[in-house]
Amino acid sequence: MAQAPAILLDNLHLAFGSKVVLRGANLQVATGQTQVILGGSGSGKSVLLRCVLGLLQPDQGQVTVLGHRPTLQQPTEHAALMAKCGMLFQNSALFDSMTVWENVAFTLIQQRTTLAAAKKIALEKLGMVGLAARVADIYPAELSGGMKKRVALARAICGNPSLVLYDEPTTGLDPITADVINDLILKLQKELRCTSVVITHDMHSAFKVADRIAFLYEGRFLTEGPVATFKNSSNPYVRQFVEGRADGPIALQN
Amino acid sequence: MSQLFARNVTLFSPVQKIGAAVLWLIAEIGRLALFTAKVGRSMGLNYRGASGSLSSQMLFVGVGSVPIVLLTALFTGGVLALQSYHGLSGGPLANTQVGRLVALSMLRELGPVLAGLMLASRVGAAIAAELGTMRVTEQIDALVTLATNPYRYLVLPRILACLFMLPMLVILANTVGIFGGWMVAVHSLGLDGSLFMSAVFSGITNEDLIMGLVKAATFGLMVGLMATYHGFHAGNGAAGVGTATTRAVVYSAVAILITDYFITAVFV
Ligand SMILES: Nc1ncnc2c1ncn2[C@@H]1O[C@H](COP(=O)(O)OP(=O)(O)OP(=O)(O)O)[C@@H](O)[C@H]1O
Ligand SMILES: [Mg+2]
Repeated sequence: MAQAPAILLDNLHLAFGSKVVLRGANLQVATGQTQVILGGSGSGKSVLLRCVLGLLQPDQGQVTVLGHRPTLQQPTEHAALMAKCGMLFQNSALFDSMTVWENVAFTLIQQRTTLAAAKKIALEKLGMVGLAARVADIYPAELSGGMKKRVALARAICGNPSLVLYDEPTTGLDPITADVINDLILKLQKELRCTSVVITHDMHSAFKVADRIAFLYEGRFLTEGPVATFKNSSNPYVRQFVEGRADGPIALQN
Repeated sequence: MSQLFARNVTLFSPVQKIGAAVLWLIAEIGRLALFTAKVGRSMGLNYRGASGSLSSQMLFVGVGSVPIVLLTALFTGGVLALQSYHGLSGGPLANTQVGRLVALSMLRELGPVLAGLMLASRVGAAIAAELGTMRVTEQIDALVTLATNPYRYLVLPRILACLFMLPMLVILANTVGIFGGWMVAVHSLGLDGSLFMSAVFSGITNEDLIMGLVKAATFGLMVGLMATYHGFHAGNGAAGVGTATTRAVVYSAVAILITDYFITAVFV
């Protein structure tokens, strides 16, 4: 592919004090692709996404996102980059002082779209994630965990981003809603031609949405490749993870 | 065992302890300055939500603090009247001096300091807890990913509200404090009310007023800065929010008392 990759992670190292999380992670995500990242709990997937967004600076190595270096040191450039990205946080991170629709339409309200127009778009996005209009005027504290996740997803895609990062989009959802979200990820990728990075533990979801799958283990990507290659991988680490066995080369960490 | 030993080392070397504390203080001041610079640089940005947030913050900081500040000032004024009366041994000077002493002490010292301390405990704690909770629940990160500068959106309105509203509260506190002094002077000490009031007005100068308001603005700025800084940088979990809140209140109070000394020293 001639086009520059949407995300380029080059030899990322990151430690919190003595706890080393990333040890030379390399990854390329081509524009328009859906990249799934698998990895055990605590393997550093969320930390990796925070590096992609510039919320954390790696100790070593370089992050390039849509041709820019994300860093909070340059707030204006960073905000311009963020306007092209959507992020679904693992714990939803909804603004608890705002109603559901104000959360979803947050950027629209900032951009001085009229409130009525912003609300209309918010309701549309809520509909896309399978939420009824009657949740629009309540506060996030009154929602279930799965509903919060879907509101957060609606908020992440509200600005029609060209890069969407999903941190465990289907965790905590019933299988039917989870599949609605899977379909939504696929649909967004088709309609917006956006690049997606999906972190998940859900193998069914991974195989459904992924173009490529990368497996994060001990701070590096152990394997990276198309779904079919991953499914048939003979790598014992990958096999253990895919089959979900407790015995194998991967020991529980910590 | 080695841990025990390490602890003994720190126990037995006060010089090291002092050195570490000084280094920490310098580093903390540096971080606070960087934080302030980031807030300052964000000032040019303009969001629709942020201006609404300034007025609601001013309501919370200013109007919301009126009852507690009034109550404190009223009793402080009363105490000042009692104390000055006894200081003058209740002699013939009391009629012409108590009013002056109450007014000067309120305007120059107790009005700004007490209102500042009330602001630190009521507003500073609330701001630090709110921003701290937003930090640990990743709401501040979410704000960043929604292309919104959190310094402009969250921090600046809160600092400005403290900066603008504390002088207003201090003017109110001074008035009510003098009134409290008058009440006590007339109804409990049996002094002449009109003599008290003329002593008030002849005793205070423009400089006293200005110094009180300079103090109020400075303390307001410091409470706002301390509260937002500690909330913004809260550590992990509920304990992190608790620590941030405590620090916001304690450091604001200490900063108020220390700068009070220096401002007084400059004006005297
Ligand atoms: N702010 C932080 N300070 C210290 N350690 C951290 C911090 N954030 C993450 N860690 C550590 O980094 C490691 C990776 O965390 P991360 O949240 O990325 O895991 P994860 O792969 O997303 O796991 P999960 O699938 O459970 O969400 C963990 O061991 C965690 O303890
Ligand atoms: Mg995670």
